[in-house]
Amino acid sequence: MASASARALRRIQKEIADLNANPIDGISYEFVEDNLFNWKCSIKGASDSPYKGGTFYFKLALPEDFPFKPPAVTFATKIYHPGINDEGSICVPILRDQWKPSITLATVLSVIHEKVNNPCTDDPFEPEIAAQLKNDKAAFLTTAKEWTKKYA
Amino acid sequence: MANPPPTFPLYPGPWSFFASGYAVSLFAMALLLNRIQNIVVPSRRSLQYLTRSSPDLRSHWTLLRLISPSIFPMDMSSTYSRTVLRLPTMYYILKSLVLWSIIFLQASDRFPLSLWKPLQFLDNWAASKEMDEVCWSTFLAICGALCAGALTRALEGVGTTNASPFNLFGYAFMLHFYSSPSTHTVKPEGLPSRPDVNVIFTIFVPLIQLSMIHFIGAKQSWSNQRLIPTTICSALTLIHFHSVLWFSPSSYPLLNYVSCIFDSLLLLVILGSITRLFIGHASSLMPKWDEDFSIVLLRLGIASLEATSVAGLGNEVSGISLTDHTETVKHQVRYGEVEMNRAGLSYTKKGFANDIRHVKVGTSSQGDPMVDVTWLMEFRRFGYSFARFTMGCWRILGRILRGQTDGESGTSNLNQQDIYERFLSGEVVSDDDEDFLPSGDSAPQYDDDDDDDGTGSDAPDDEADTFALYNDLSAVTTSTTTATLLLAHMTDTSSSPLTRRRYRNLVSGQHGIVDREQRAWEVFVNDKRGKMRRQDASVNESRRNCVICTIEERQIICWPCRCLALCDDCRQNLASRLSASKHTVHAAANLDDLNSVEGFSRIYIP
Repeated sequence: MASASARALRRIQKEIADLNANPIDGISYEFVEDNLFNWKCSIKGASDSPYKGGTFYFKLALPEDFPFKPPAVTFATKIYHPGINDEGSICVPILRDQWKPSITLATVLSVIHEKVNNPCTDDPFEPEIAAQLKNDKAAFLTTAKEWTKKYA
Repeated sequence: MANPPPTFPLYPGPWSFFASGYAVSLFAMALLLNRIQNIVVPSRRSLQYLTRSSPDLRSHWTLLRLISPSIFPMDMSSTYSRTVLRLPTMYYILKSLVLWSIIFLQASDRFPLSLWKPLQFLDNWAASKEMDEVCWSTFLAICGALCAGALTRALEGVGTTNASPFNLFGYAFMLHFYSSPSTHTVKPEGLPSRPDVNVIFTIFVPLIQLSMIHFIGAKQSWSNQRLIPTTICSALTLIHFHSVLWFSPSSYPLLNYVSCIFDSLLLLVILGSITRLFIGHASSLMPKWDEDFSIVLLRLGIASLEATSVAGLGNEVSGISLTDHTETVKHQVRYGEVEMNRAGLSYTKKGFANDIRHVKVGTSSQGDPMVDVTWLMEFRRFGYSFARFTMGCWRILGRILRGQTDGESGTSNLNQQDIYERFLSGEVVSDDDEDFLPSGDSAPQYDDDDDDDGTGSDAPDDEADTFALYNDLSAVTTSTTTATLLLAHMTDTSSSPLTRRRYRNLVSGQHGIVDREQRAWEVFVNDKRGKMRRQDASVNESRRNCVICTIEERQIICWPCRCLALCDDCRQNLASRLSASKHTVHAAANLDDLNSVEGFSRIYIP
């Protein structure tokens, strides 16, 4: 039945209205081919993070049974980050096992924003980068800035 | 590899299966399929990644893609190459399919091929085959088909979601079992013996299924469309099973018995709950094209079991009917306690004063299994009421001793004392103290006019009425200060108390000023309120709507945590998605309530 995805669509429209009313600093989004289930977002590196000056694109794909299944986030821009792996997957608990249908997309986006701009060693996706961040922070910062300049 | 000895007198058991060529080749197949899946290039992940994210490597890849046809001029995913790769196995599969269909026709005795001349050689050819030879060649054909399928999938680097399309182990065991002549029932003269026709059918149907999947797999876009073939074959199997079970004197082969019963039960469950299942959220449960029929059946069966289960978010406590069980054994408690179950509700107090703080939700009518706890609670209640009773007795006794009893209960005690004090202070005490009005000499009673409050009419009109009334009355009556004051109070009908300023205005007749001031004030207040209301509208809406879909109104109250967060549709959706033990408001909403939901009620906001 189409009603499930129609409901998902209405909720998404509502979320977009909310996002337009209270935009998140540093995050912009557009829709791929006017498909509200397929978002192309970009995030600006905060000035106090090693990703300063970079714009990182990521894809936010909402599943058909949206509020019951979490959206899938994939980074398209290469980023040197302990929580984001080579394939662009980001390790955020609320997008995995801690997902709840009542979590809004605004929350998701701000959590991603927070996660990207504050690289920390909690739940790492790239253990090597996390280890480097822990042991040799200067080297990490250098590489991260380099990658930002190169790719973002 | 050696076939099992045909002269074996007993039924072939599991041990002879493990010693047979079937088990050995099963093991080899497992190894082979695993290796094919893991070492055949191209590895899908690295290539996809290269094409996607790194810009400098992307150009290399496009270059590679440009020159790759000249190096390796074959597109692995084209229907042509897939067909070529599958051609040998297709031939063998087709051969065994034909063989089995002829054997089936021969065994069923319905369509004698010998009547039709050109096909007679086929008939003879099939009839002369030994059963173990037939089984073994079929098994090898199936193994070949599976290998070819795995190889084409791996070469294209398509993620194999369901790598095992076929219960090879079970099928191999069946073939092995029925290849032994001791299991055969049909033993014609001079020809190899054959098993029962039902057995032949149960072997035949999976073979059809596999060959269908193998053949449509030649086209890449069809290769995952497994629903239709599996559905056809499972339907055939089930129809055959039931026709044998109910209408045929012969018995169904034991090896397939259990799975058929299981499938039938699942179908029964799904059909039985079809009305509940297909409300609202069925689209997520509908079968997908690349799923096996049995998997679909299992998934739908479980979902309908969950949807119709009466636990958690699926447990609606029934309506509250106020019947006459007034004679409750329970003593009066501070807060109401209701016990809700599917049979209804038992309560201790009635009405809006009954603040229900504790709700017991049960699916059965049995009480708390912890008998001691209930006993202690009852004892506490008893102690509490006993203490109150003694206190009351003591109070009455004291009153008797003081000689003030007039048989009234304790509730009017305060009232009486009040009157007594007023009597002492020299007021006139009349019997009907509700409408008590002091006479003209007594001190002005500001309280009395409050009874006229709350009419809800417009203040300026009231003001004008009041002014006119006062003017009329003051013109007639002789004026002393107390009288005018009293008169002002009596004529004042506005909702706010009569302040000094308003009284002065009233007496001096400056009606217009009051009016204007009042209006300005009201405009200001209304303006302010409107702003607040607009600001609250969005907040209110989000507070009123379901936390999941944010569209429907909240309708479902969960017991026992009393959270009002969901609409009915989302509740239903959750109920069919999670098992009842995971039904918490925490799982649905972003709340910290980890209590599991034991039941729910629909509420109606008119």
